[in-house]
Amino acid sequence: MREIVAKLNKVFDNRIRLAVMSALSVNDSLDFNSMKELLDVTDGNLASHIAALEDEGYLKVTKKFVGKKPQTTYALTVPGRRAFTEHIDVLEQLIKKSQ
Amino acid sequence: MSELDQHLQNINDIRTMMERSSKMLSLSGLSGVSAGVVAIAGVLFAQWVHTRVPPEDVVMYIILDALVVLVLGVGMAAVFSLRMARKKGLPVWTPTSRFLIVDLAIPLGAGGLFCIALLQHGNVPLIPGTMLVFYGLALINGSKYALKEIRYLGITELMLGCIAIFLPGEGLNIWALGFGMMHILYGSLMYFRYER
Repeated sequence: MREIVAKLNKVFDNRIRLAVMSALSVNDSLDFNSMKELLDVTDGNLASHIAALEDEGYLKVTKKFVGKKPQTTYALTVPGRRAFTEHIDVLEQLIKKSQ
Repeated sequence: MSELDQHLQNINDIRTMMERSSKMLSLSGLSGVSAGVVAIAGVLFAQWVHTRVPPEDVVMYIILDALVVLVLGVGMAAVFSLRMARKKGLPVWTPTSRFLIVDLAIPLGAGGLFCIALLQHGNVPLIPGTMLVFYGLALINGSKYALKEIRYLGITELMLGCIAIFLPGEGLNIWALGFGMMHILYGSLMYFRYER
């Protein structure tokens, strides 16, 4: 049991980060504002968690201009998707073991 | 909370967020019911027109009737969905709802043009079935961004449309069945399944 727990990805030990990864796993990409509305969190809170995921290399960030407004969109990188899938696998294993 | 509860909660959060970010969940069943009621009212008006209006004016009255049904049906559907979004605290104008609208609009736009062409060439009896066929295709096309019932509704409308184009005399009745009864049926089903 303990060795399985150790396999849980520490980066995902937070509801907002987990929610960001979940949303991006089923969308090609999402912009900052859509994500903010979807998760119902403040700018600063979302930005700091996105930065953490970006530092891990899990998110690909694209900045572009829509008219005169800058828009930042996010997508999962290949390692990001792999890490997220593995994390879900570990959660499932833990649930199965304890039943 | 035990560790197991914690993991179950996490899995549940992941599933909810995946669904919430990829499907337009604020599409209310009541939208379907109201659209269905409007459609049936429209058919009743069309039948009344046939008996009361001079024959040369009938087509114009029916076109006006159809436009009113379209505006009222879509308008009421929008009102009920906005209301549901507000009640459940769901965002309305998301990338998902934009994709849904575009995916619905493509077959509907083509279908609309096709019906105008049928009207121009004097093939009026084929129009109800054609509307059902294109509407069904539009729903199937958009259903990946909506709850699974929308896909089944689309298949039902498509099948009714395919029947109607071979029974042109029954066009209006089948149209009432498709746009009226089926909207009410699927709308109530979705209402009792997800909104109660």
